[in-house]
Amino acid sequence: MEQSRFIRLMVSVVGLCAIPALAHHSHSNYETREYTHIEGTVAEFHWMNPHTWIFLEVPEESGESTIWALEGASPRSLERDGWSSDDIHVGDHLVVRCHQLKDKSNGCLLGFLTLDGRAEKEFD
Amino acid sequence: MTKRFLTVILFLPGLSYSQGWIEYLDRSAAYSINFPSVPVITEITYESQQGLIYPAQLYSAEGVRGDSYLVTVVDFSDAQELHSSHPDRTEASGVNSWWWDIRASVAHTALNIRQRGGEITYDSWSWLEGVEGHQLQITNQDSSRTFVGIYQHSLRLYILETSVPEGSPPPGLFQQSLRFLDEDGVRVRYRNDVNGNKTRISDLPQDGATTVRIVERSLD
Repeated sequence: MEQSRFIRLMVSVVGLCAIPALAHHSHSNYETREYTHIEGTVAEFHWMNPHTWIFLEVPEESGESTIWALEGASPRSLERDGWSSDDIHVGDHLVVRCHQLKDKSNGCLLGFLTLDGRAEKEFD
Repeated sequence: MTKRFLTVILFLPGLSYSQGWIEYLDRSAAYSINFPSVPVITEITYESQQGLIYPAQLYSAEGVRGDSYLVTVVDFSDAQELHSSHPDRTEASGVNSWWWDIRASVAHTALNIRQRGGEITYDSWSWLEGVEGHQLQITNQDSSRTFVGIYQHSLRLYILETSVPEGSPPPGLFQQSLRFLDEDGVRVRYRNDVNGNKTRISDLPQDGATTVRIVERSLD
């Protein structure tokens, strides 16, 4: 039992160490130690390499709205997780957990999506 | 010698999601990046930290929100010859100075951009594909924002610069999409270590299918 927990822990540690070597770019401009929660309507969806992008129109308390740029994983990685280019459409309602840019502007690294009331799913 | 180039649209599937964005591959300058449209290319020059003038190409494209996208590719392939032929045999013509000048180019460019002014809201070491570089985010006096990425790979310097109007989404779609190509046009990615050593990853996975056009520019 203890041995199997040790192996699981080591696999996790090795996995975490491997991520930077295989990732495409640094995430240091994002606040990766906390999640920002936002909700809005899809204005654009870009299913492209090396990363997918969702532009989300987010209403503000002032009555205005702001377009956020949300960075997702690559198409290949998302396909592995069961996503397809036809899953998200302009006009869809999304609830999002993501890592906001450190300068507090309207950019965010995904993260997790809840699409039109379905279960939350990773988009990273 | 005048070089002739060929620009080809390789893939034209349904564009309902892409809003005109393209994946642009330039084999002659050994990179690919996402642009909002096919860029216009202008021949320019770049002054290095040691004051030498190198040839460069400026790729520019406009977005639909008043946003502009620039890639400058500096060609250092003649650096050694330029430095060794320095007429007065100063320190700048020393045996190692040519690659010092190249290695200094990221910091030198970042300094020049900082000195233009504006409020710097992000200023940090960065990396793409295991190639180390630098990122800057600047809020300008007119409240527009400029995003900069600077990377030196092989004998080239890549300077990415985007300006977006106040309130527009950040241009990560462009800035985070730079990729490097080898002499055969194959994507290059490295595994790094704490001392900055790089090992090329030989078994990179193929890209997944996309819904955007791929535009390729190569020597004719």
